[in-house]
Amino acid sequence: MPIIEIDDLWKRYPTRRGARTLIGRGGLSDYLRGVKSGTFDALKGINLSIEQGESVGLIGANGSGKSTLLKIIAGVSAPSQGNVVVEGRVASLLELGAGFHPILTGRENVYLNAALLGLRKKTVDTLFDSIVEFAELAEFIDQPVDTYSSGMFVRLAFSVAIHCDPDVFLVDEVLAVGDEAFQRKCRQRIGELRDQGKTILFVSHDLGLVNALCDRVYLLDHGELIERGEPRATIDYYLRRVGAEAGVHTMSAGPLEAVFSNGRISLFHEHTELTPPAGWTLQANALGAWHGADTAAWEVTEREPTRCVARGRAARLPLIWEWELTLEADAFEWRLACHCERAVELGIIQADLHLVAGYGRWIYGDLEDDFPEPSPEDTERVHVAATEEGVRVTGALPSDASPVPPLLIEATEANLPLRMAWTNADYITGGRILEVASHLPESLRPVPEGNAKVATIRCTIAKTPADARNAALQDRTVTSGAVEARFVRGALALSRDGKPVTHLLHCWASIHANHLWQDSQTLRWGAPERDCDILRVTGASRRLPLKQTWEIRPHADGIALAIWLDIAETTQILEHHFSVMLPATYDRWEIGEERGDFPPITPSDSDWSHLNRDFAPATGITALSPARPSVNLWAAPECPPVRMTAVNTAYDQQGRVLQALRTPDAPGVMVLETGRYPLFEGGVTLMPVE
Amino acid sequence: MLSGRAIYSNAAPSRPWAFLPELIRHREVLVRLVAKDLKVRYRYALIGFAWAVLEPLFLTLILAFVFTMVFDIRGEGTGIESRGQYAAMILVALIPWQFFSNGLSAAANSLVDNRSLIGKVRFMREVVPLSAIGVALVNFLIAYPVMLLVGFILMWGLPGVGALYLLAIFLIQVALVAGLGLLLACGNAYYRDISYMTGVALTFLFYASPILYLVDMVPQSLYYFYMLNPMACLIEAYRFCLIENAMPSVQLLAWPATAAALALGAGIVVFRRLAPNLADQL
Repeated sequence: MPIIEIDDLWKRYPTRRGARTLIGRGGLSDYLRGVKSGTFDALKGINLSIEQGESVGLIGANGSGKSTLLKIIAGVSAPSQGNVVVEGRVASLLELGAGFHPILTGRENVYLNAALLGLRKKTVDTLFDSIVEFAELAEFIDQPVDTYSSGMFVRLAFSVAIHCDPDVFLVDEVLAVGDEAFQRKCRQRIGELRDQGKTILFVSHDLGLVNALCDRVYLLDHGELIERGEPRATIDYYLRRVGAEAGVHTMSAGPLEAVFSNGRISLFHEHTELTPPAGWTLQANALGAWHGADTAAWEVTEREPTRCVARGRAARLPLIWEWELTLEADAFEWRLACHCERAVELGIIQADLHLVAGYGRWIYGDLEDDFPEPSPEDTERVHVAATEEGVRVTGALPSDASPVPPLLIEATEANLPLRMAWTNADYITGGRILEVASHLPESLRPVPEGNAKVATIRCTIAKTPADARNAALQDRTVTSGAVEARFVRGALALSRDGKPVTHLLHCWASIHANHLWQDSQTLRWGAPERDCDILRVTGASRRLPLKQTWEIRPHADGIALAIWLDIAETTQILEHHFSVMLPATYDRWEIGEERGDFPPITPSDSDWSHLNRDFAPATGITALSPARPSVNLWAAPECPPVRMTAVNTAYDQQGRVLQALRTPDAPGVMVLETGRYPLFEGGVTLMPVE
Repeated sequence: MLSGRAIYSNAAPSRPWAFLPELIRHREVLVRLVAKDLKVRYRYALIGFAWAVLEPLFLTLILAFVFTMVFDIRGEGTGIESRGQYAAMILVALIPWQFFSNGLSAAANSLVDNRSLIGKVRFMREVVPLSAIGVALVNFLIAYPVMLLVGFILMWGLPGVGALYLLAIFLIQVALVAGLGLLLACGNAYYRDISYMTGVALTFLFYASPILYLVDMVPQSLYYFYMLNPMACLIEAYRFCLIENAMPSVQLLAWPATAAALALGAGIVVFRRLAPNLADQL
């Protein structure tokens, strides 16, 4: 049996003319002049039926009749025609705190409000503690309500409303009030009510929330129900349907389709939605308050089949967002700029790129991992991958069963510093969010009057996850003929003809300083910089006052590199080395005239062991394997004197290591003062298999 | 678990007979709204509810001063000899009048004043004007007994058996105020002119009721016309009971009782017919 049954419902309002005539609506002067009052149909023949336990969303543009419909179901307003049957008790969270009087205390208001909602005093007595606890107002409950902050006021009102245990909840835009923590609490509570099998009728402009909370969605347009059904499909229909309006534009190129709808971007690939209904949007933080671009007044000023320019005047800031969207067959570009009409105290500008939960794996620069499983305790976004600076390339890969394509998302800063971070959305909303944020330093504030470019965000569809991965690492790769060197997580991996040559730890540098071994893999690396074909990266130690800078460049059949050490405070160095690890298939080594075999690595080998006896300074070492490129580690003449050694790893690593080791020239330690020192200069050459 | 079924329709019957059962179900809302208004009114007053007594007392003293010292309306054949007697006469009439007057003007504005409540929550709309009247009623119920006790016992002696009829007069007045209050409240929701007209009408009725003078002073030719004002009859009846210590005649109460019943009936029928649309009118 349906819990709400609506049959041919009409609502007609007399048009108000009070503002125009002195006497008021339906006034005597109009009557004498023979002016007839007009009418306005807010609802035109609505039919709907909602079963017990359903969560139903109502969406539609402003003025489409959503709130009128809720008011009628709440019994506040009467139908002009038609029937509404509601079984059970209805609580409307239409507007909270109805009947709250500022002079009365919280306690008195709770009793009054509860009585209006139909609760007996006895019932309120038993619920009272729980109401106060939910509202977090224990100390203030006997204070007059006019001493409350608006947040406290709304918390108390919401708490009373949800404690009256109704069968049907009518939820209007109320979730937009109160502070963020409270909004989360409300959302969570509404999710719980839904799970308890309460019927919820939900009106919101937050399409993401509607999608997350509702089983079904009704779309209202000018008082008529024009679409009903599964949330995703109905929301899509809504986004496209309102396409005629000023702030909406649809573009398509090949399999890609992009819909811009009043400050939100939705992306589709072969009709699969890549973005949840929340879409891609932007928010700005000015003096602590967030201003969403979706609240701006948008107008698409240039419309082309694959490109558009949209301008949105922010609701409460003197600035105009200007977005240029370009669609290609396999890429989408979002160019963000803003025009400040006068100086604006902007603190953060942040683009939120929502992706569907079908994306199960993230790429963040040279890092890659699975998104963690969301948990019901996640009431806010959970940061998944973020570093302090520098990463400009990220990617998202689909879970196994998902039809979404791998994505590569790059952000280019214009004139503001950018930071990218992957997060999981809160549990109810679901999905993944890439935050591309610009935290404006004090020196750039306030943003002066005029045009400011913010960023360009480019999203590319990759054919395979490997393509996406490779593309993400493109900016940290050096190629020299058939040899490719990729600097990933503090180590340089070498391959020849697409086949990996180095093993496990690849090429790395270690320093034994102040009695600590510091491997390059453990440094905190910044974003790679390119200078023609030279790749430059700097990594700072987390524990010692030093930094390493690697400069990698192509060199005949291999790479040449220079590693510099920046010392910030006087440091004692015992020794340091640059090493190359190869798999155990390499069986011979040569250092100048000295040569030998790599003996097999046995389970009893629990430590690394040096194989050569002669520890004289040398300029090169080579490892040979029957079926693999021979590998030569060489030191350049400018390099500080090093000793070349061949090393067998412990059993678990199964590797051969070529090492350029530098120890103090005299017994003791090297004491390095503040400054820059060369650590290693030389290279690695991979000679083809003969 | 479903608790009740609600049907909203433009054709839904207004069912006037359901007024009383519904009112009983909503008694708690009624009581809480009255309590709210009283708390709001007296919370920040030092002496609080004492004002319910002091206000009419001061007004009585002022009126007694004006009409015995400035123009003296006492005289041969009027039946009023002393100042005290005149004050008692005013007091007996003035407090019921204030109940009538304050009740009606509050009721007329009640829906408009509580429009935020009506536009948001579904509950029995009648409760709103009735609670406004309830506030006036509570004031009356505090002031009248106190006045009667203090004034009569200390100064004029105990009222006699006539006081027993007070209850009947009081009930008639409550019904009259409730009925008129419901009519004025919903009228004012449609046309705010009602509120102003109520103010004017109450001022007129104040002088057209035997509060400052005795009915005997009304010219004989106007007497029946004068007595069409049910409050004139009721005030006369209060005086009969308390001052003349006599039982008011049936003729005196018949008209106000009829008027009260008609007003209450009309008030309930009209209000319930208009109630569903009130939220849109406010």
